[in-house]
Amino acid sequence: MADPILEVKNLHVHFETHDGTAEVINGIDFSIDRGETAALVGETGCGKSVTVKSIMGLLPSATIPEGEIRYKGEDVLSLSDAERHSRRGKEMSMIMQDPMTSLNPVLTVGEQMMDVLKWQGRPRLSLSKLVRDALSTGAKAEHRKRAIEMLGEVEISAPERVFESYPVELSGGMRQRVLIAIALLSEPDLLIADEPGTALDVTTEAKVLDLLDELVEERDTSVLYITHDLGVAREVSDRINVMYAGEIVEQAPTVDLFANPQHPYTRGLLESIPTLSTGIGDGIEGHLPDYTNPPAGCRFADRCPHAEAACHEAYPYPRRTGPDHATACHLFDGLPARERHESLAADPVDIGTAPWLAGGGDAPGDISADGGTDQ
Amino acid sequence: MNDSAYTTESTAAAQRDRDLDDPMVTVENLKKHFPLFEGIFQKKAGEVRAVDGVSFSIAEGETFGLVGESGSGKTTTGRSMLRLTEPTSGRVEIDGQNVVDLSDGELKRFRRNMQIVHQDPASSLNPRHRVKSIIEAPLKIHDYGDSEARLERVEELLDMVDLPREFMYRYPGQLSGGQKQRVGIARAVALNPKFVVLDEPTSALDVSVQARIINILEEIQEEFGITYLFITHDLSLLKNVADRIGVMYLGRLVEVGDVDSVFGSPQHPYSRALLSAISTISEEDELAKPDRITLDGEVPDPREKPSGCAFRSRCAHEFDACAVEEPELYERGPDQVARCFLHDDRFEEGAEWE
Repeated sequence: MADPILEVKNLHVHFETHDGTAEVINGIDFSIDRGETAALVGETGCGKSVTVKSIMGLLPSATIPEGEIRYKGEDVLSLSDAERHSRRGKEMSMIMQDPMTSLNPVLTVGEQMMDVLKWQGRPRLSLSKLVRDALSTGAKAEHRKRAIEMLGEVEISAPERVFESYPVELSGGMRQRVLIAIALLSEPDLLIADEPGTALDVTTEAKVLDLLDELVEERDTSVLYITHDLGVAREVSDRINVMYAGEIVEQAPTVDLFANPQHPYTRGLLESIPTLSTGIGDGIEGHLPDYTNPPAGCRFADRCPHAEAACHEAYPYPRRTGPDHATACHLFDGLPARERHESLAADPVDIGTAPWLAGGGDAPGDISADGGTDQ
Repeated sequence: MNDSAYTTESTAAAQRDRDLDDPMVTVENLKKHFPLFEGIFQKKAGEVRAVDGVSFSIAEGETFGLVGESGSGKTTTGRSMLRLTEPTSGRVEIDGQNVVDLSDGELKRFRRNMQIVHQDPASSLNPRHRVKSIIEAPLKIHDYGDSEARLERVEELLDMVDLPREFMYRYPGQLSGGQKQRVGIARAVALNPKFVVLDEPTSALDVSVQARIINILEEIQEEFGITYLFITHDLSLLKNVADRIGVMYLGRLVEVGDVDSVFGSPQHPYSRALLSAISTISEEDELAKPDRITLDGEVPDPREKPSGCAFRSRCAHEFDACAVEEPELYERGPDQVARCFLHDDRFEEGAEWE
């Protein structure tokens, strides 16, 4: 982890609601290396979108009482709105979840693409720039050329026609390609893709994901994927962060996570996914806790088949369970993954070891045997 | 019919053949065309053939899965079968009764035998009614006992779908997505129907909730022998719930067969492409599906379907004959048919397959 492009440290995000303060994100830590593709996986309401929107600075109504978001070493939370604006769309950009609603229906695809190039992260255009733009057709023609080129790169077969089209004239798959083209227009270093395939059919989704994969590979862009689908995460990412109720409960390299899932939530999720060979599990009973009155201990304890009384009391700080594997569960022993939890680690909660490991060996040993990646 | 290659499955297939001799549901050449109008006089300008001659049958207590991408006509098929939209032509026989012929009054009475669970639990329950009156509605319409008997039945149904009885007095807005869908299921099975259409019952839900709902549906089927038509775009899910499946493309069934045969050896290029696009969570599954096939282009405009085989515009195997006429369904196993000329002996290209 020599040179992370994005580091999120102990991030807390709160919302004021009629029922009190909702503690939606409760101290999450993760980082993305340059050129790496990381995934944030979790179910509806677990805080994935809130997390990325706080990274982009798109949550005016939220308060961030604690935490750091470092982009290329710089704490973006301490920047002014104008400074953050100048990084959005230029340094980091985002592909929104729903291709049906995230394009402006009254502007053509071309107009929306030209806007990105015209503003280039500037909060406002200076008068002289406006005059210059109005007088010269050169810049405009160049932008047009660049936009059409980009549409070609996302494998749209008739880029000129699509450039002149309104979003309603395009299919879902085409609109998603347009969104990808817009996000990549300014050659960002960090791309956040919020469920880029969810609204599409399987064959289209597979195609869009392959395409995105190719484009970011060429540009060496770092990508943060948001998805609820572990299957998709497995295909696209190098590292996976599993989120539950505003906390990251497990993080590991993708291969490692699937070879050796540890957190009971990750395991429950994996078992619930219908597979071709092994069938469908029982699912996870219960539902997310109330964010305005979250449990003091483990937020998953109410739904966890292995929970003991202590789980409801003591916060399960993430601990190192392998060379590059962290799990936030009392079933596992290990040094705390973050320094700030050392005082908690001094007083460990003993609820035994994971039942599925009871028979053979300890977990950390298993991981290295499975070829835990080098750091 | 019993080819040597399929001997291992022949006993199961024989059993199914017997059941299919006397199916619970038979659909014959079902069509639903939506007219298109244009101009100020609303002149008929053409039509979208959303469902264009679909035939299949479902044995009693079996689950038939209908899979396809958006716009393939799978939901319209399900809805036309129940006459929630009037089919243009065709025959739908449910428990020996041709539903298409029923008069309005007869249809209303017959509806106790056929029900539907809708896709979006949030919008298919009346937000102003309590759970009790939602589940009770079909009981009232079909004169099921007095209020006491109905209350008893509602309690029984809530138990069946694993919801606490006190939920009866809640409004849909107070329930989570999974709980709402359970209410939808309770309502659909309230009158002990023989046949239920499940129209993407879990696509709006998280996987951990989906698994619970699927288990409940399977328990109910086992106990009451209900016949299901399961409509979904999720193939891995279908693999787990269906006995037989039909793959739809632009209003036509392109492949029909028992679930193991179709997944084990898809015989239509489209089914194969669909299977190859499944995202998996294990190496084992990765090996169980065909290598990734990328389809060219997009689903054509249903108003302007290609001549001959509708799939040819995206098919890697396309040859001259495909544009001229539409392939019939070729038999590819004891219970598997595929609509593709690659299986026609007349064309040498057939050799390319496998």
